[in-house]
Amino acid sequence: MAQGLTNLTQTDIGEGTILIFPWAYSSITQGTWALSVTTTYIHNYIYYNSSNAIGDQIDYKLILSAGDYTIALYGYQAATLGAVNLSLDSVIFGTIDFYGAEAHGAWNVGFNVLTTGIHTLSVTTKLGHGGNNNVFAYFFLIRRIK
Amino acid sequence: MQGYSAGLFTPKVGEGHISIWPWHYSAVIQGTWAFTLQASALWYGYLDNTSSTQNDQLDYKVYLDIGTYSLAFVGIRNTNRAILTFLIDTVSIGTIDLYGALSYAYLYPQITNIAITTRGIKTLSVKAATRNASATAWYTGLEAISLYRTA
Repeated sequence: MAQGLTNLTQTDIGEGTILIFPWAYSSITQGTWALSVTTTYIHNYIYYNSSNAIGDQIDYKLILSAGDYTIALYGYQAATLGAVNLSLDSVIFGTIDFYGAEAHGAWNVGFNVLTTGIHTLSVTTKLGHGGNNNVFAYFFLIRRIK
Repeated sequence: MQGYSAGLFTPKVGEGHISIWPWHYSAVIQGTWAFTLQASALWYGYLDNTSSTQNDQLDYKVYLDIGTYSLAFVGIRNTNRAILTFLIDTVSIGTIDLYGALSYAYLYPQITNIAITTRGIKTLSVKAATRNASATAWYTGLEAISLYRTA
């Protein structure tokens, strides 16, 4: 009789909680993205698209198992800021609008991963209120929720 | 036949995106390392080798799968800073020269195309192995290290 584990076809991979410093990108598809130390911000810095254009995009590679996730973008809201589309492998799954009264915090968006493997998370600026295109970020936190 | 045997499946291990605060090291190989408050740095401070000696070194344990990785680093840049050599399991994966005009939060160009050919727990080392010919000391100044898979 065979001994040991049975019916194994594929081990699970990926991470349940992923902290991403925003400058640790795999590619910049459009724009100039810069790190700036600013004492008025949480953690003493911001990372942002200094090019301030619609379609500015930065990409991150992630290893994700199939499942349900939430991404929290920790950043800054102000009347001078724009909005972003969030996409996974070029499919938009959410939009965050950073226009509003000045505030620091986390913006959460849920998304689903259908296939286990390496995926590309993209953050792309879109036209915001008043024609603003800048976005500021401190870091991203991705959490598997199911 | 059932069971765990070679070829039945390929075990996958490791992390795809690793963000390291430098003071979370697994070992101090050489030197005295201390957190220094600095209002113009990330996190309002940085980790520095106050010993300022050649080959001062910190190690970090990372869990990697086979693949291609990049490394991003934020730290101090100044004329009294060393050249950092990054190593995985004692093999250099690249260097970053910290010599230059003063910046307390300098985002250096990434080290790319780091090939990992075996999976498992690796030792990522940060070592002040060399320095620019014009540098006056062996200080480092570490603020953030990211190691992440790109392919």
